[in-house]
Amino acid sequence: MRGRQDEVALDLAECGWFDAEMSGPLGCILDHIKNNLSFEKVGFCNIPAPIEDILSRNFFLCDYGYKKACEPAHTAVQYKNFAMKQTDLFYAYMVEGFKGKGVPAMSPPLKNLFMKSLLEIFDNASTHSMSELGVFACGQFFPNRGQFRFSITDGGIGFKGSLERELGIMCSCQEAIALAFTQGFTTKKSNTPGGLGLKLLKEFIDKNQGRLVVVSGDALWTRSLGEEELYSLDHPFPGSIVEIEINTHDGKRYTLDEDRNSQIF
Amino acid sequence: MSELLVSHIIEKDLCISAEDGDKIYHLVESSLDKGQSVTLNFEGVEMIISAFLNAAVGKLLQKYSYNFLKEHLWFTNLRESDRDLLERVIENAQSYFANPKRMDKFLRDMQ
Repeated sequence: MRGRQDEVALDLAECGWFDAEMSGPLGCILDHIKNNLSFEKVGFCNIPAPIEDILSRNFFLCDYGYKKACEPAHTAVQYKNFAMKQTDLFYAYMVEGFKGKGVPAMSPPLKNLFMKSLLEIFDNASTHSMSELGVFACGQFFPNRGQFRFSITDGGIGFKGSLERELGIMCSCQEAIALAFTQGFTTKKSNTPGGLGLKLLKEFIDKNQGRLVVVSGDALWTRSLGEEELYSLDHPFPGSIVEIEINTHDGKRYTLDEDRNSQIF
Repeated sequence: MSELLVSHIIEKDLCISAEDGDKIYHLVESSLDKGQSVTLNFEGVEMIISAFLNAAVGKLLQKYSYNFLKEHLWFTNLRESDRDLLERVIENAQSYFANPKRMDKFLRDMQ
């Protein structure tokens, strides 16, 4: 970090690589610095050309005065900041943004489940995070690896803060993430059941043999091939990040989209 | 028997918010309280998530028994993947309302 007292410039001279889908978390941190720590201006300096290319192709740098770049490989899903509860706009963004970005490699039911999973995460962030910075979204397709990564970030109270606020439960960030993924657990106190979205997401990722990463406060939790790992971060994140990585070449059956009349109960 | 066309009521083809689910809940509740059976018709719906179904259908389990709903609530034009989701929502709601002290168990397990 460099800058005058009222300005912050992020010096990327030593940055050798930047995962494009991490633009969301970076945007959240910079907005947090600007809005919550009252800096007049945030920006960048000494961006290496390859990093500038990555951060321009998803239009991230446009927010910081850089020119829009064309996206010749069509692999980036645009960085975007949504207000809370703009779920309809987020859906439209996915439909438009996924065109030609590797989604054709997915079967229609897999694509449907992928989009449903992202909507569940977005809804979860909108409902629980109390983020005054909104929700940040960004994605990147890796055609050679057959992977699609997408991150949804909020600058809110985190999983731990939500537990404290809604239920008065005091626990660590690590415990809060573990509880959030437990079947039947919900922070909702109303007469509406909940607590299903993140469990369904976990099941989908397991079946797809993808990867799920959650950061909230000072906890980092990952799940891949049914194995979970939990880490403590030296510096807490000011909110929560959910990143999913899916295997786009997955040929498993995710149910057909046939319509039928049904008695559910 | 009354039929509710979901996309017409919420004025969109996306069932992706609890607020829209609440609209459906109140209409279903109104019909059931009059003793009328209801069919929820999902024709033309593009996307459904659990938050919508929790509010529209899951919440009904607090007021009505499973067996009552089995007699009086029907669904049509649901995609198979959404039918699977609805079944999970109902299972989750049954568990949610059956055990009001469920949070205590989670806390005990955590300690």
